[in-house]
Amino acid sequence: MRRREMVWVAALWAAAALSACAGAKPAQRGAAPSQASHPEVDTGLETCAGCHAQATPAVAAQWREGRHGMALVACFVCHGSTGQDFRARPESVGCRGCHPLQVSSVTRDGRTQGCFQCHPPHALRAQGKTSPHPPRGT
Amino acid sequence: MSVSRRDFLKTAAATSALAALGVPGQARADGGEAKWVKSVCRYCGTGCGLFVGVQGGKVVAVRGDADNHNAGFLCVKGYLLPQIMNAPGRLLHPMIRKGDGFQQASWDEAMGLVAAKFQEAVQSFGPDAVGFYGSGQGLTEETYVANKLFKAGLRTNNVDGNPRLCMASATAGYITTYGKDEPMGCYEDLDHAEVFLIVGSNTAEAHPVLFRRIVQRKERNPDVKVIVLDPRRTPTSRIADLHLSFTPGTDLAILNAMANVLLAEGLADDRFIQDHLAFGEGQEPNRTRADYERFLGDYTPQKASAASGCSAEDIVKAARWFGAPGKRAISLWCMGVNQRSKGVWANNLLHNLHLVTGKIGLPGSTPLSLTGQPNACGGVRDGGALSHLLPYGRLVANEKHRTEMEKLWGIAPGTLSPKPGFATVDLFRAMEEGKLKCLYVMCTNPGQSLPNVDRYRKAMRREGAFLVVSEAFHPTRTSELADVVLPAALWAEKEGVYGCTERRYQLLEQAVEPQGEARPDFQILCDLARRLGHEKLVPFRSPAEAWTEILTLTKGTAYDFTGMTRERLRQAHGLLWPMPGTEHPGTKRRYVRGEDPLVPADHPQRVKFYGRPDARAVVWLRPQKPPEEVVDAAYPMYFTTGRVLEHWHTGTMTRRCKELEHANSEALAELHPQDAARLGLATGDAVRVTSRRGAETFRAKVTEGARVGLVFVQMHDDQRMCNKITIDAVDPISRQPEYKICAVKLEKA
Repeated sequence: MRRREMVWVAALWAAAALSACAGAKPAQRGAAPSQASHPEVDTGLETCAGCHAQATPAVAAQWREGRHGMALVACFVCHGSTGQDFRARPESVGCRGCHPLQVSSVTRDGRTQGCFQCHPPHALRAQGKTSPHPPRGT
Repeated sequence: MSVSRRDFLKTAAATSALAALGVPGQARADGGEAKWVKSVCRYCGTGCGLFVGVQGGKVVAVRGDADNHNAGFLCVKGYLLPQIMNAPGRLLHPMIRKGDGFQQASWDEAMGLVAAKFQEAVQSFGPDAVGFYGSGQGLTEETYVANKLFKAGLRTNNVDGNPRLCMASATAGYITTYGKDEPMGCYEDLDHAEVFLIVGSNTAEAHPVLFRRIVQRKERNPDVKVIVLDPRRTPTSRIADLHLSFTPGTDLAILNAMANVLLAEGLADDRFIQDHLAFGEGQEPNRTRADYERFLGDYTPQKASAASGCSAEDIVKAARWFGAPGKRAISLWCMGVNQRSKGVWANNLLHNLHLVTGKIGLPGSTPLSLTGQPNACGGVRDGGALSHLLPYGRLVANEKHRTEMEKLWGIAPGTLSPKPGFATVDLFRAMEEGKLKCLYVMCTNPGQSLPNVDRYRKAMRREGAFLVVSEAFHPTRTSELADVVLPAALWAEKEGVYGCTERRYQLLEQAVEPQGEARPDFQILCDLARRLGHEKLVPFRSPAEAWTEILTLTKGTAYDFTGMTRERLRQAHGLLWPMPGTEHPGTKRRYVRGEDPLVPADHPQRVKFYGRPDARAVVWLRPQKPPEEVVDAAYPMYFTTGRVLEHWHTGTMTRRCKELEHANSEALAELHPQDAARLGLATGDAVRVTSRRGAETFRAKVTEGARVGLVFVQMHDDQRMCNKITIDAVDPISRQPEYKICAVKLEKA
C-alpha cells in the first residue's frame, strides 16, 4: 500500500477511534472486539504511533508525552494488534493487568469506576482531583 | 497468598491476553483453585518482583509485586509471561540426533548417552576435553550444581556462561577499581540522584521499569539533569537534558576529558582523594595524582571533541553538571560500555569520575552498572561459575582460595585444577580446534548469540564434537545443532534464587508442574552427577538443600549472606547482601560506615574500600584506544546491535508471544536519512550488510535517531542474525567480545 493511502486510511480510523474515546463514558466490560484495523499495514516496518504522528498528531502527541509514551507502552498493549483483537476503545478491565491496585481501589461490588473518567485517554494524567488510589505505585 | 476469587479472575483475564484480548470468562472456565505464587520476572537484570496467578494447574496471570522495588510495575514482556508457558515449541521429551533429524528418547537413554560421551572424553583426552556453558538466566542452585560437578567432580575449569558476553567487563571494572565485584549502590539511589549520567545504555528499552523510576524522579524534581552518552538517539534520550552522540569507540576520550574538567575547575574532592584513593597505570597502583593530572592533559575537551565528534562545550557542560558541588550524581551503563575490546578500561573511567569527586557511597551518588540478565550477578558472577572463578570472590589461580574451597567442599587437596578454563569465545574456539570434545549448554542460545556466529555454529557441528543442549523450547538456533536436547522446566515450573543488579536476591517459588517430561535443570544436573559417579558432591534432594550449602561458602567473604535463609527469602520481597546474620536487615550501600556490616562502626571515615589491601580505590590512567575494527574505504560504516523493549535476547521466549511477535519481531537495519539517500535506500528496501566475517540481508528503516555512518540492528531475530556480522575480538582483561562495534559495507539488495 502506498504511504499516502495508508495515512488517509489511518486518518479515517483515527477519527472513529477518537470519537469512541472522546466521550469518556464508562467502559463496557465484555464488549465484543472490533473488526481488524489496518490489516494491510506492514507492522514489521511501521508502528501505529509512527503513522498516527501524522494522521492524528494531537492524539499521538498526548500518548507520546504521557506516561505510556515515555515508558514505551505501545498502542497494541491497550488497543490490540491490527488483527481481530483490535479494540478502538479499550476497557477499564484491561488497566487491571498493569495497575491492579489502582483498579481494585475504585472497584465496588464488582463494578469498576471507568478509569478514563479521571484519566483522559492517551494523556492519562489525572488533573486537579483527589486520588482515590493507594499512594504507592502511581 | 490469599486473594479474592473475583480479583483473581479479573486480573487473569486482563493479563493473560492483555487489555486487547481480555475475555473475563476465560479463566473461570478452567476451574480449580486459584492462587498467587511469589516470583520474579524471567527476563532482564532489573529483577522485578511479581506474583504468578495459577488456576487449574496452569499459569494464567501475573501481577507486579507492589512491595518489591518495582512497586507493582512490570514491562510488557513481564505481563505476557503466562503465554510462554504453553507456547508452541515447548520441548516435552528428550531428543537424540538421528542423522539430520531428532528422535524422541527416554530420559534414561538420553542421560545415559550424555554421561557415556562425557566419561569417554575425559578418559581419552583428559578433563579439559569437556566443558559447561551456562547462563545468567539459570537459577543459582542449578548453576551451583554445574559449577561444582565440573570443577570438583570432572576436575576441569571449563565452566563459563553467557554473562561473559554481557557483564565480564563490568565485573573486571569493579574488581580492578575496588578489589571486589558488584555495585556498591542500589536502586533506591535513583530516587535521590540529581544528576544521571547514562552511558551506552538504552535504559528505556532494556530496563524499562528502572527507566520509569528515573522518569518519575525527573518529573517530580525538574532540576534533575540527565546526560546521555550514546552514538544513537534512542528512546532513553527523550529525557536527556544533554545527549552526546559520538563516533563509536571514542567514549574513553570523552570520559577522560570530563575528568580533566573536574580537576581543572576545582570540582574534585581533594580530601576524599587524599583519604581514599590511589592512582595506577597498567595493573598496579603505581602513579600519583600529579601523574594523573599530567595524563589528563592529553584529554582537553577540545582534543576529545576532535577525537569523538561531539562538541567540547557539551563535554564541559556534562562534567560541570556531574561535578557540581553538593549535587548527587549516579552513573548507569550497560552493553555499550561492556561489549567492547576496551570495556574494562571504559568501566574504570566511569568509576574515576565518582572517585575524584567523592560522589560515591552517598544516597544518590554511586556508579551503578546495569545488569543484562536476571541472575548473571547472583548465579554466575557471585557463584563463581566462570572459567577463572571459584564461588564468592575466589579465584582458580589462587592457591589459598582453592584450598579453602577444597575444605568447604570436602574434597581431597589438589582436586581443583589451578589452570583457568576457557572463557566463552575461547571455549568455542577450542571446540573448533577439536580440543573440546563435549559441551553441555544450559539455558542459553550460543548458536544465535555468539559474535561471528557462523564460525562457531560450524564448531558446534564439527565431526567428533558432542553438544548437549538443555532448553525449554526446540528447535532453537542452538538446539538444532545439538546431539542431545534435554527438555528443561521453564521459569514458574521450578524453584530457585535469582540475584539482580543491586545485590538483591529473591526466591522464585515453583508455581506449576513442568510440562510433559520436562525437568528442572537442577534435577537434570544432579542426575548427570550420579551417572558420572559424583553423586556425593551434589547429594541434594531439593534446591533448598543446595542453598543451605551455598550459605556456608559465603561466610567470611565480602559477600557474606549467611543470614539469607530459605525461609527468609520466602517471606521477603528481595534481600540485599551483605547479610551476615539472620537478624541483619541487609545492605543498601556497601563500603559505607553504618550500613555495610564489613565496615567497622568506629571507622574514622564515612567509607572504607575494604576490597583493596590498602583500602584505597584505584583511579586508573586509561588512554583512548580505537576499537578492534575501524571503518575504512572497504567497510565504511560502523555496525552496532542491541535490544528492543518487546523482545528478550535471542527471542526464544518472546517471539512466541503473539502480541510481542507482532511488535518489532523482525530485525531491521536502522539508518540515518543521509546514509539512506547516499545508498539509494528507503524504508522497507532490502539491504545487504557485510563485514569481514559474514553478511545478512535486512529491510532498511530510515530514522532520524540513527547516527550518520552507523547502522543498528536488533539482536533477537533468529532468521536474520546480526551476529553473522559482529566481531569476535575480545577485551584482553575480561575476555568479553566487542559486539557493539565493527566495520561494514551496505548494498541495496
